[in-house]
Amino acid sequence: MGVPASPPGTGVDLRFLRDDGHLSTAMGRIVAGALPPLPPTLAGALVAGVLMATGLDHLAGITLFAPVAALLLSGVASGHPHDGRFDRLVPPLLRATEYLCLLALGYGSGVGGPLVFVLLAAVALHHTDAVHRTRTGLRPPARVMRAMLGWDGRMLVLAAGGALGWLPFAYGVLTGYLAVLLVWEATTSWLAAPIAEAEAPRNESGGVDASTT
Amino acid sequence: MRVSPSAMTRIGLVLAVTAGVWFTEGGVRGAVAGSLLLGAVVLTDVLAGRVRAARRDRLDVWLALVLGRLREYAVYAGLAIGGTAAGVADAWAWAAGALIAVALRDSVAAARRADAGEPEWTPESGLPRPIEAVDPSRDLEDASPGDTSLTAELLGREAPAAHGTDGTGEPDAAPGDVGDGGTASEAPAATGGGAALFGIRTVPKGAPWPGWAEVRSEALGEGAPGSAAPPGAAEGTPGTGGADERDPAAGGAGAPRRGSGPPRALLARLAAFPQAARFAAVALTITIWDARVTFIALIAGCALAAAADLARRPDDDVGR
Repeated sequence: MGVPASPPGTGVDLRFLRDDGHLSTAMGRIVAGALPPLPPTLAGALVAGVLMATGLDHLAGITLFAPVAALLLSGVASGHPHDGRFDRLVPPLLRATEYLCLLALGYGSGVGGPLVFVLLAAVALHHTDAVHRTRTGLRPPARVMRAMLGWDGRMLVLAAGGALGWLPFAYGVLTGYLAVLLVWEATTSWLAAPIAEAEAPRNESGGVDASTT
Repeated sequence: MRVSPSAMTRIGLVLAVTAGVWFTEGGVRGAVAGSLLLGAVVLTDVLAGRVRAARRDRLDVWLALVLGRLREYAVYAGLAIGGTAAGVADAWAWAAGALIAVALRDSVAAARRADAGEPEWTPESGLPRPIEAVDPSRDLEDASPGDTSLTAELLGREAPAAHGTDGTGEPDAAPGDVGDGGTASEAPAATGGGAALFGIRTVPKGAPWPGWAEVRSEALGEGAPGSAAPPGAAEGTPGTGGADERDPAAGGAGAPRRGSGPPRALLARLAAFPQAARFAAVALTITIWDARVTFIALIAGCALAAAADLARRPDDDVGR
């Protein structure tokens, strides 16, 4: 996740949409963005999809890390600027794999349906919030995006919980953490932000001039 | 009395939660009451659009979008509870599937409108250069192309001095005189300047995908490829700057504002499957059938909308 462009523009870039966590970003540093992102993402999504199709409930212990490990192939390419022609497929692919893994793992392992639903709602709302807050000109800082753990962090937490045999507990803790962080962070950042007209012209430092009327 | 648009948004949230509570009943009475409340939710969006016309502050825009999703998920949760009570197997899994479909449709729309990011490596960044990271054995001062024959193969050209320049290797050789040595597969590669050799050619960045516009206009029966995306279709995706997908919902109730003919614009809006269309699908299916049909309809609609969004993509490539 790069530093935002000098004016905090309303544009959303694809690397921001990837929603990488610590591990994925660190792996991207290794190759300094020299790898194209689509092939490793496709490969990882394919392996994770096959694992889900065979049923994650057959996995146990350390093998629960297999889907996230496969998808972490895509983390190596996280430093790429994503300017290839089909690189727009990468964020939806990552999200689809993450959502479906959370659903398959929870549902196949007997976590309560409502809990899985609420966790998915929290993750989806986090993505909606990040995109639309960027569009209105208040991009959430990288620190906050990292605190939401990224797709790799969330999947790793759940895999670790499953490996230890505490899967419902891990779902509950992760849901609570994400929901509280989402609400708290949105509230404090909106309280601190100047509420200006969304489509007001930007001044030279990228901000919006205060209303004089 | 003045009602602010964000008050309208909050009223919509309360109404949607109430609709979700009615849907938990699982019977026909609950389905009808919930459907009517969903209609009221769409109405609040229309009203909020009217109120918002003059002023639109960023908190209001953000609240409308995020609370719009939140209320939709609340409706799905209500449907899942009602479905479980009515004996639908795996109602929560279906509800989660519908949630995922909606979120992915949003994700495809967001990715379609997104820009490319900044590269990790810049000359000032102090990180190792990408070629250094990938191939540490390479001499950094050596800027010559590595393997000329491989480059030539990848680009579909004859290697510069690999062997003699016979007729097949010349780019300007006429198609007729390749019969001596050239096989059928490499003749078009030589004459077309790499236009064949389908799998491994490279196209310059930012150039349109060759042949896409023709194939597409042929498939859709349209004239110019530029006219393919009507303005209404682009507006159906969430967040054109600030205009959210509620605007098409507002327009869907009244007359379409612009576009090539009312039925077409309406169709394009429906193809984007905005929230009003999703609520209409929910109301229709839950009243007639049960929660599982509702969720399957939502998943199918969102999948179609995402596929249409992806198929429309390469035309917007010019801005990059």
